[in-house]
Amino acid sequence: MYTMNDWNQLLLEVKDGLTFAQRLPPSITYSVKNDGVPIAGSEKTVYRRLNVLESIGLANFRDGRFQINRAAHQPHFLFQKLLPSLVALKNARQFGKLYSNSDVNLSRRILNEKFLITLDYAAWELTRYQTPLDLYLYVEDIETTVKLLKKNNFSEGKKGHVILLPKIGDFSNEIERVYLDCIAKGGRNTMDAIAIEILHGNKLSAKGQFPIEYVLKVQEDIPKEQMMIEAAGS
Amino acid sequence: MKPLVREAALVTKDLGQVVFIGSIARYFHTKDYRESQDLDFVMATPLTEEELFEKGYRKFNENRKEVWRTPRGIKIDMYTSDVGGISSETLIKTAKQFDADKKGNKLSVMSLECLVISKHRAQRDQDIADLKMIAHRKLGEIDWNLIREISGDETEYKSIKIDMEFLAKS
Repeated sequence: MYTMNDWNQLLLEVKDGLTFAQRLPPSITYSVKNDGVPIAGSEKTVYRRLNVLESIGLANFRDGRFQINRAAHQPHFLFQKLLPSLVALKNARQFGKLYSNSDVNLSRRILNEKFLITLDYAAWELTRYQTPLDLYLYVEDIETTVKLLKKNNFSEGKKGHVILLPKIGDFSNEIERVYLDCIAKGGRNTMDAIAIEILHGNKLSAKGQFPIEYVLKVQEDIPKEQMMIEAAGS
Repeated sequence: MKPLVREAALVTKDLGQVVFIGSIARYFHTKDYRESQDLDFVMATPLTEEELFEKGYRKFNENRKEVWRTPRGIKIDMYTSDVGGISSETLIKTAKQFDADKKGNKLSVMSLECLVISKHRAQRDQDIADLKMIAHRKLGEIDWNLIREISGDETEYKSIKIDMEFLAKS
């Protein structure tokens, strides 16, 4: 169980790593020597920063190269709220049985709705923007849930479409939690976060920062009907 | 059949030779379907607005922008010159055919190599996620000589190779 003090302490620990990440120019991967050292000062410091970022899923590194999750570019004020999502995603466990869409339906039946859905499927429910692929589930007791899935012939690995997350942090505003999870996950989920902000912005207490071209693209591609439904409901 | 693939097959029937890029290309090359509901394609022979209207395609003004929709209401983006710095001639010449359904209908889709180059150039969050997926599943199938030829830039070619090899292991 994390307390507010734990989150504040973690935020202090990752602060220098975030500053380092934010000073890097946009790129897909970076060289420790050519890109990292000029910013951090030494290879040792680069690896110290990367280790901290890696511990919350914001970096991965190997053989003198590294990659940064672009969630690291979010403003500092948002990180207090993003940390629980990042830590939960870092501790995610992935399962599959037939490795198709049927795994999603089967796992929902097996787990008997004792979960909270986030990311792909939750964003789809909220926005109808991108068709969902992976089923991300927050569960109270991850070990019991793992046993139940394994008992039903699900295997743990890296390719499954069913992903269990430990229920860490605040879930009082479910839309906001899905939004923060989407920012923390990055990649295609960044576009889900933008779609949620466009359609449900009035339910969010804190908002991320996104490149304007991403926002325009999502605005253009959100189904017209969805925009009208939300406008009528607000 | 996925609804967007069905729509792509109908667009091909309506408009003749078109090469799908964007979500359809990503789907056929990775078999992962996580997409917004629009279609992007390159037209070998551009049609006039009048010809498009005759085929039931409609133009709307949405959010102060001109948007084209198919007769079924799906949003489309039609490209006639280049995509991410890759000429339409190259996109068409290197395109691959995929089965749209079990009845023998085919779709023309941008090549894996053009997809990699265009996503590497765009470098938006979703492009990086897509490159990672391609690296995991298709690294061994990429024709690196073709990447070098289409790119025409040795530095870019090397950068794509380094990034894809890193992403494949991450």
